[in-house]
Amino acid sequence: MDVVSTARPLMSARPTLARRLNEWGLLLGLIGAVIGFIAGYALGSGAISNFYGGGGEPTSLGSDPGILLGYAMSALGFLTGMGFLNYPIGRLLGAKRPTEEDNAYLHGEGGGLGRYFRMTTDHKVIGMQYLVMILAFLFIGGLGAMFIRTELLTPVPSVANAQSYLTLVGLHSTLMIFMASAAIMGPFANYFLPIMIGTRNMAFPRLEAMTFWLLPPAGLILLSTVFLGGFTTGWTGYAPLADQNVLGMDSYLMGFALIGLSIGLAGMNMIATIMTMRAPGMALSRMPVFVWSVLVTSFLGALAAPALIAAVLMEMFSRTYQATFFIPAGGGSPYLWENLFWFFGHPEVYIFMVPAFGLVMEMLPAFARKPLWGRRVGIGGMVGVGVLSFVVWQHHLFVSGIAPSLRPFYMFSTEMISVPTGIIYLVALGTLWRAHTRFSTPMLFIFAFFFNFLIGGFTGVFLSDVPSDFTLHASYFVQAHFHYTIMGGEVFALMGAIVYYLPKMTGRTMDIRLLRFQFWAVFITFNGTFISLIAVGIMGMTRRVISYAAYLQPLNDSATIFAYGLGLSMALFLGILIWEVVIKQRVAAFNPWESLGVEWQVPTPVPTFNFDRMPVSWSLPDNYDTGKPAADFGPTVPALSGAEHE
Amino acid sequence: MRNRATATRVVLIVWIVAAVGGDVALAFGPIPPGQASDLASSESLTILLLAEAAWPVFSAVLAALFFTLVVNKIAPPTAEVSASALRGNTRVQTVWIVTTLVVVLSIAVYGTVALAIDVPGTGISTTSASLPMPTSTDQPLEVQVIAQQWWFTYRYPAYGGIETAQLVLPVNQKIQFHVTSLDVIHSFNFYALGVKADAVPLNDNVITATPTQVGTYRVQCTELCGLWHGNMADNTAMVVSASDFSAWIQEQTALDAPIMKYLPPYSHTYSGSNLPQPGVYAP
Amino acid sequence: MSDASPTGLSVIDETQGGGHTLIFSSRLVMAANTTLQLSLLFAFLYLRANNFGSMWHPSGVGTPPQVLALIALAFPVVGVVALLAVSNAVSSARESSAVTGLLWLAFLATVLTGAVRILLMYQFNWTLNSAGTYADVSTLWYAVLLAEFIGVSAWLLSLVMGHVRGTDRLGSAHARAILEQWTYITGVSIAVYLLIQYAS
Repeated sequence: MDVVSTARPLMSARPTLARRLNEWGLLLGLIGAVIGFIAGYALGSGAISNFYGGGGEPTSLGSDPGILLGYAMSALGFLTGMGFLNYPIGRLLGAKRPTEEDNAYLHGEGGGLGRYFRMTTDHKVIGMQYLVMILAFLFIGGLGAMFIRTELLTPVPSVANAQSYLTLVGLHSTLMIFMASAAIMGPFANYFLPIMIGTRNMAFPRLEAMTFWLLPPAGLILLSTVFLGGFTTGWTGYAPLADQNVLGMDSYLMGFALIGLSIGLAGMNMIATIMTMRAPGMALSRMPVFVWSVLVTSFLGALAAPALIAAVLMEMFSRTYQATFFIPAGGGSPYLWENLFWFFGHPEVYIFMVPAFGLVMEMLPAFARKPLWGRRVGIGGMVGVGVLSFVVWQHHLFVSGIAPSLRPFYMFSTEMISVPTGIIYLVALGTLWRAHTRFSTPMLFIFAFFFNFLIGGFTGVFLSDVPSDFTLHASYFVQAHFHYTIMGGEVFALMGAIVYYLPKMTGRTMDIRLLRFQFWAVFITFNGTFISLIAVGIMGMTRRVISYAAYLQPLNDSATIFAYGLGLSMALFLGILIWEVVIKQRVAAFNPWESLGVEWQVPTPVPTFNFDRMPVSWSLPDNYDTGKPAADFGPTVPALSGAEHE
Repeated sequence: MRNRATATRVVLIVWIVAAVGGDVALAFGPIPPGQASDLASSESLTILLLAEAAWPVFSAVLAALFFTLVVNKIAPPTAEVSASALRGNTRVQTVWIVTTLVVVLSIAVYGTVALAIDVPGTGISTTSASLPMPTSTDQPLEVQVIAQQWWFTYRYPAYGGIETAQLVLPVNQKIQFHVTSLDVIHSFNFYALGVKADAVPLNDNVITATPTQVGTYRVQCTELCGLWHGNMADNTAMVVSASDFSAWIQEQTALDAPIMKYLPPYSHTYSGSNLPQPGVYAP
Repeated sequence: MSDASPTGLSVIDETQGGGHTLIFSSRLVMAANTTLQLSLLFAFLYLRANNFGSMWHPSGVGTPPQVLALIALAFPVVGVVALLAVSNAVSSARESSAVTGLLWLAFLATVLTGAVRILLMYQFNWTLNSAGTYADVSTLWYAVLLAEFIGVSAWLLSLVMGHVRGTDRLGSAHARAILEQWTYITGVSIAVYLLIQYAS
């Protein structure tokens, strides 16, 4: 390991041209995106579309090769304008490596608010960027949900027409999938993982910045589908319906490709950081449980996302060059898409959940004032979930006509997931056992997490069992099931984590009374909405329909009314957040939860390079019984008291 | 400590009452999808048994959470916590894991057995020959479901391959549904019979059920299939007595007679101009 | 610069993975790439086994031209040998000019690889809209491999330029990582060649 001087160089007085351009990164990125789209569109509709048998039927809005290449090049143009190509191009030309000072500049040292709007390699800036982006996605996706529920007030089409309704369904689901796949990994893993394992930086800081800056183009490209006629396939994009769709389908494909790229690259970056850049003394056995969950999630992302990219590439080939991967008459098969998509899609749902498990287990000891109970089995549970998630994907296809002999295996492997997830409950119960639990606001969200995820898990059992799945498959029961796990689980954990980590991330906090009211509002309306939808699903209501049987109307109306309350209480959360943090700027205590985690021992705001000197890890960060600190930050070394735990 | 013992007992009693009461209520409640066919009965039974098994466990976890959070807590400072309550206890962990494993295994075994008995031989079929006219109610009557955007049509190979827009089935006769599609993926759902099978172009998805109750039911498409997916349903599917069924078949045969020569010969899959062709969008 | 912590571990200012991180990450990329290749392999075998609508490989659709396909494999193999020599030269601290020559040789091999593979894809005697799924999978697979070859070539060019201009002398970790990466892709493309040529 190299030893580098602690004294960081001061910024030079006159900024270079590259830095001046970089200050305007976001604007240049947008200009680059526009230029890239025009160039790609022209190239795609013109020259490229003549390769391999023509480029599809052009419509008044253009052709598929034009749109797809335009999207791809607009994403590239955006990243170029942001300055992501400066380093690789410099390397290609054999330019000097960036100096220490260049890196410090890029890291945001001395930068003000502007560093949040340009390419910045500081993992804390990236964490905050992710948080804001995720909340924006959540807000837009939530508005979509409100429109969907409004339409479903009546059993016949009322406020929307069929095309706009299905496009809304597709946008809500796809945008929420984008959001959920980064909701905890993005803000909290980026912000706290390097601090928790004791490093100043990620293994590939520029790549880390890029994984974030892929998100805005992906979201905007997806949303731009409304100008191209929308798409009718929902987030699963089943072929051959996808082959049949108008140009709006290309937005879905390119958006998903960018998100897949982002998930995969972020995963590899996290794994490399965790495996090779831990502080001295930070053995795997001493790693915080949240870091373990990030490690598992990253493996899922890095190994599953390529399957999605392969599937999306096939569909792009099909839409541009009339390849027939998914069209039976041309030698293809719709099952090919279903298999590749769900081979990615099922690990994907654990990309949502595993970091939520980790975060909840990370927060629990601070409120129980006890060490995490059963840490090893808890970690084993997350690893088990990760491994199992690769062998369950066919349970999405139980009624698709798969070979009957395959069904028992996938039923078994799916039900096996109850064992590792059950362990998470054991760990929670064990940690709270004989504790003096503090019912602070994050603890309320943790409790809601366990309550909601319990319902999510038990509804899952009914879906994993083939005979009952024959009744429940593709009904609102499924929809309620995954909203209970993803929204009730991950988003509740996200809200708890925001309340928990806000004092460290911003130095500010939120009003407790307002938050408590908000918590009960969101908890009650969430359960009201989705219990109604569980009932409606059991009674035979199909997903993604604009019309439904008249006898289902009362329950649908109840779901809609609760959903309005849910939307309002989610908006209230955002409102409190913006009011208290941005406008009122309520100052937080330094360590309001008296947590012993390493991340709480560094100053607030966290210095640009996290530590004066690299910490030395002593023990697990949850010695609430002895109060022993987890790491030595020097230079004043507190006396080591008691024997080491590990 | 005396109060704690009382509170523990109260939580335990409340849980037992809730678990037993809930299970009893479940046993008497209406369990979807009902009893309109043997398959539906089997699915209802599975759902009931899973619910009966799940409810006590579900309420036990909630009771345990409540117990740990509210009853079994101690006064600050966190002092007298036994070592096994501090960092982990191998025996407790082993018992928990083995218990969940046993529960999961028994559910999986039950599911496999139920699957083997009640839904045998479903899935993609590769035979091209259609079934002959059944001579008894145990022999299956073949009914083909053809899905297309956005309607189902039905063919009866045992009756000359006539094609109808309405699904009518004889009661107490074993029916073998052959589900296929002409364009994109659909899913044929006869909710009351517990039948759900994806309709995939150039595939023949087979599922068997015996309707046991006469009535008028709803069939619907349960896989997103494009614009009017939500309207791909109708409330006119019927299960009728054997004599009504023969009368209906005669009527349909007469109606179909003039168009029979335009229909493609009966086949388990159809590849026609309706299938999406490479490079051609649907209007 | 380092002093002792009470735990006896040395205290440092910075954790820097350096070469270890580089090689580890390069192998992670290979692992992820393996999923991509396996997805394509699954598509190939699944569509081949089922031959939906008898449109896997309709008559009249040939296989990629044999000679060109072999040449498109020969250059990557030359690249492997050259990169192996580079890696050996760097790790045995041979003089820089020898390394430079070998690097240029390797880079030439990668450029020719790209050029020949583009030419090969021009010579596929099918258009995708009517040639069945064999042609679809083959074209996609060759396109994916081409993109990967180009990516690694760009990486190699950056190493060559840094070494030649003296801004960044080639380290043993970089030499090893790019050798592994190029060998992996060459191996995959040989397997793909065998599959596409002989399992049509």
